[in-house]
Amino acid sequence: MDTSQLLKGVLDLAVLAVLDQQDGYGYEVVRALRTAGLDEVGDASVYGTLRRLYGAGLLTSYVVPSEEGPNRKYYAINEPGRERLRETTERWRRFATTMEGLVATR
Amino acid sequence: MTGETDMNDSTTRIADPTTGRDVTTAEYLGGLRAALHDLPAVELEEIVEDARTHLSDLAAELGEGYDRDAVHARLGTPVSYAAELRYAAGFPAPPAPPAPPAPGGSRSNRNAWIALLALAGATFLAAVAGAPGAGGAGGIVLLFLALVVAGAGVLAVQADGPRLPSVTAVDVVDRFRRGVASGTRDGLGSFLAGLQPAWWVLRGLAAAWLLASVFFTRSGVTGFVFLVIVSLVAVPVSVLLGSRTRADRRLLWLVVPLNAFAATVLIAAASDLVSGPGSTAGTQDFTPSGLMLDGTYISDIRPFDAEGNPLEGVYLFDQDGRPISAENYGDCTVGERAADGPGPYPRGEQTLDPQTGECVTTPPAPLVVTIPGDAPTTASATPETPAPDAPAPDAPAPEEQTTG
Repeated sequence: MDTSQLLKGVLDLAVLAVLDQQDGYGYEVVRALRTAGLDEVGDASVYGTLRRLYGAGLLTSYVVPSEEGPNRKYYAINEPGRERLRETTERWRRFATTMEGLVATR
Repeated sequence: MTGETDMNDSTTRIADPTTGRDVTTAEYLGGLRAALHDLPAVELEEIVEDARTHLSDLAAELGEGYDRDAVHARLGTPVSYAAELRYAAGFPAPPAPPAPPAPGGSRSNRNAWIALLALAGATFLAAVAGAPGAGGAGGIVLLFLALVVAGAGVLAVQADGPRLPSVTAVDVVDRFRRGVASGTRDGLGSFLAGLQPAWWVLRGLAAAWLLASVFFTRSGVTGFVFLVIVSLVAVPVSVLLGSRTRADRRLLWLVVPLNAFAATVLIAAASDLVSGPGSTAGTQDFTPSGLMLDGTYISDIRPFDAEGNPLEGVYLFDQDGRPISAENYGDCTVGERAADGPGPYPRGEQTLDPQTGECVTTPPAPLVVTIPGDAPTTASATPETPAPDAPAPDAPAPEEQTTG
């Protein structure tokens, strides 16, 4: 199983974490994730995740005119989004600890 | 939710001045749009705008290297981009594959449909050709036409090979084949399927019988011998055709119309045996009773003399002396009503009295008619008048001309 399979379950968390640091438009989020080391994340997956989180009311969005090219749609995390981020982070930590315990002996 | 302001004004702005880059972007967005066409329009527009910005960023990043291949390397094809986005965004999977999974794509699918329609049309024509009504030369022309249509149809899928994968990929055909397969697995269906070779023999005999009857008067011993000889050829040919068709499905375009033809010929022959030669029995099943004029029943007769005076108490008979009875049903379908018989005319209108439940005869309403020739010259104006007391000799339909 390559990393992209693992990534699917935690992409929400990753995207929320990126936006919690700073607002960003789609491609910025992609680059932030890649910079953080998630090279295998697909562009379309990030765009799709942003749309879904926005649709779920966890993000807000605003448009910033661009000098060159189309306007950029920025996403920002809102209070429900932060709440979700806290929950998911908690769950992720427990899960990561469990997994670490399982694989530690190898 | 804040933000989400209008961003349409941006869409007309073009990311890159270089034409080739715009083509790359437009092509990719077009593919994306097609792959997501089932999504709500607003959603789709937003996704496409996101992707436009995305491509614009990518173009800025890649510089001169921004082209189709580079975009596909980074983002995948529009189709895979759409699938990934669908999955991540939680959109439903596309409703159905855009094109049926025919190996050759939509083109071979279209050809398969052409071939199927041709087969259906040819089968219909062949069935009509074999039906008793077609008869003789008309039937042969129709059968020839059917085979031409079928031949043209099979040309569309000729290149497909003997198993015709493009045709079996058509949804309707697939379902039909499954239905036949499950229906003939056991029981009666299996038994009937086992009779197929018997049908091959039977249709061979039908062909022989037909050939014998067309090219030979089949009376007498020579006719019978001819029939036997033709059968000895036709039956093996039919059986061979049947087994070859199992291997090469393209032959169905020959076999199915011929089967339809043979079936209707056999049915016609069987009905001839039952009802005797004549074969027009079907058209004489229904003879309307009663007195009719141009398709409508005559409920009363209003006789007039040559001067246009209404006559009463007239009795009418046909050339054999049978009473001419205009059946006056009106509302009165029960109880007493004027007896059916040659008169006396006029009878008047019969209606049902709702209070007594009995039939009441209303005297005929006044009627003004035009007598043909409108002159009392009985002898010269009415040469065909057989009897002097027959009024209005060749008035075709007095009541239709003037009513009062």
